[in-house]
Amino acid sequence: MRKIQYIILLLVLNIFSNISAQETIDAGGIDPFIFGGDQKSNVANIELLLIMILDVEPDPNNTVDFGVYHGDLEAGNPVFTHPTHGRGTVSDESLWINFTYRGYPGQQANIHVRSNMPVPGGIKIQIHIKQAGAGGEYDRHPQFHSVTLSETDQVIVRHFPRGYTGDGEFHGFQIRYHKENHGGNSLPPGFEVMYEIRPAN
Amino acid sequence: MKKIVLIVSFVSSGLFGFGQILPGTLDVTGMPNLVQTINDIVTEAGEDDKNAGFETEFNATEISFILDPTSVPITGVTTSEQNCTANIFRYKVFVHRSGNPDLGSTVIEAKTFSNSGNRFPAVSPYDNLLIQPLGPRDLFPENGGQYIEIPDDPSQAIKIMEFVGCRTDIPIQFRIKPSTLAPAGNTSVEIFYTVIGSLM
Repeated sequence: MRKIQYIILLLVLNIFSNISAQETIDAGGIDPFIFGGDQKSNVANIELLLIMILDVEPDPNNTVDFGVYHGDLEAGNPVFTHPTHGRGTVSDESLWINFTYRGYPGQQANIHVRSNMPVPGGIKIQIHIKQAGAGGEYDRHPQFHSVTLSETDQVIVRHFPRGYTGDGEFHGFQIRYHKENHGGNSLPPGFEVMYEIRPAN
Repeated sequence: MKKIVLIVSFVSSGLFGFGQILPGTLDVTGMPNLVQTINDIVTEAGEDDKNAGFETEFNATEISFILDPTSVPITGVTTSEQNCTANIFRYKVFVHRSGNPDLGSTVIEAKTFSNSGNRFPAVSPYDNLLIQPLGPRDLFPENGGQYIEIPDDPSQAIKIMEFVGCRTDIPIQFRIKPSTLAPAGNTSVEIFYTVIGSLM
């Protein structure tokens, strides 16, 4: 009786293994005519679009806050004090650039940055890429350029090939903002930092 | 009852040929055009375009397989239709594609639909047999009619369907999941269809 049960179990397992297996043949190594068959082919045309999309994560909520807390203010001291960069400076490393880029053969891309309005006098914002994050398939070591933000378009990442970074924080390029603001001025309402991905050539 | 079954089986084996497989011809029509539109591309920055994907119309390619006409010394030529009426075999269709280094990890898939295409001929005495040795002259897609990845290795050509008896105008639909690393522009791959007949 037990033997029969084992045989039934083996048969059931065999059936399941057959169901899950994808049947394949060596189509280059057999002659289908022997088996009363035939082989033909056709051509599939493939046309893929150029893709250039970029965002700054976390999205939404990718606002950098250089605000000052009342409790940090002390008469006689500068408004900002960075622990390593000294008085009148503040930095932020909380944002990440994600991109998906597909160019034509041999065509690389750049990432540009500019502000949407003039940076007020007395304020200097420097931007550079601190590091490349995990995930995706992309060049983690293209040319990074440190730029001083202005309304003029500038390249911050130069000459990288097709790739995608993965989505979200800790993927892609980590942005480092370094702000010098010795006078404690404010950025105007609606001030934005604009990033754009474009073909390099 | 057993006698009836035996008689039917005996009679049917006399009317239909199941013992020797006959040569047939595969016909492939239509070229699949996998043309990406703006609605087909990935929409979230950072994601691989492969996460989107797009497909052709359901009958981008149609395949037909019918038995060849044969010459018979006394009666002359037996047509494909006559051969397909008198000789019922089971056919499996396998696909593979040529490699294309530009495409990277791009995935190209194919599928057909349950009982798609047409019986050839449309009506056969086999259809009225009480016991049909190979089952009805129907088409059975693999993977429940869901897409199956087409390998770029001929030694791994994969089965996408099987059918009983000659069959025409079987539609095949294709889907592509293009890698972001594949360049923009035009390219192509050759898709191979291999039909293998069997008596069982």
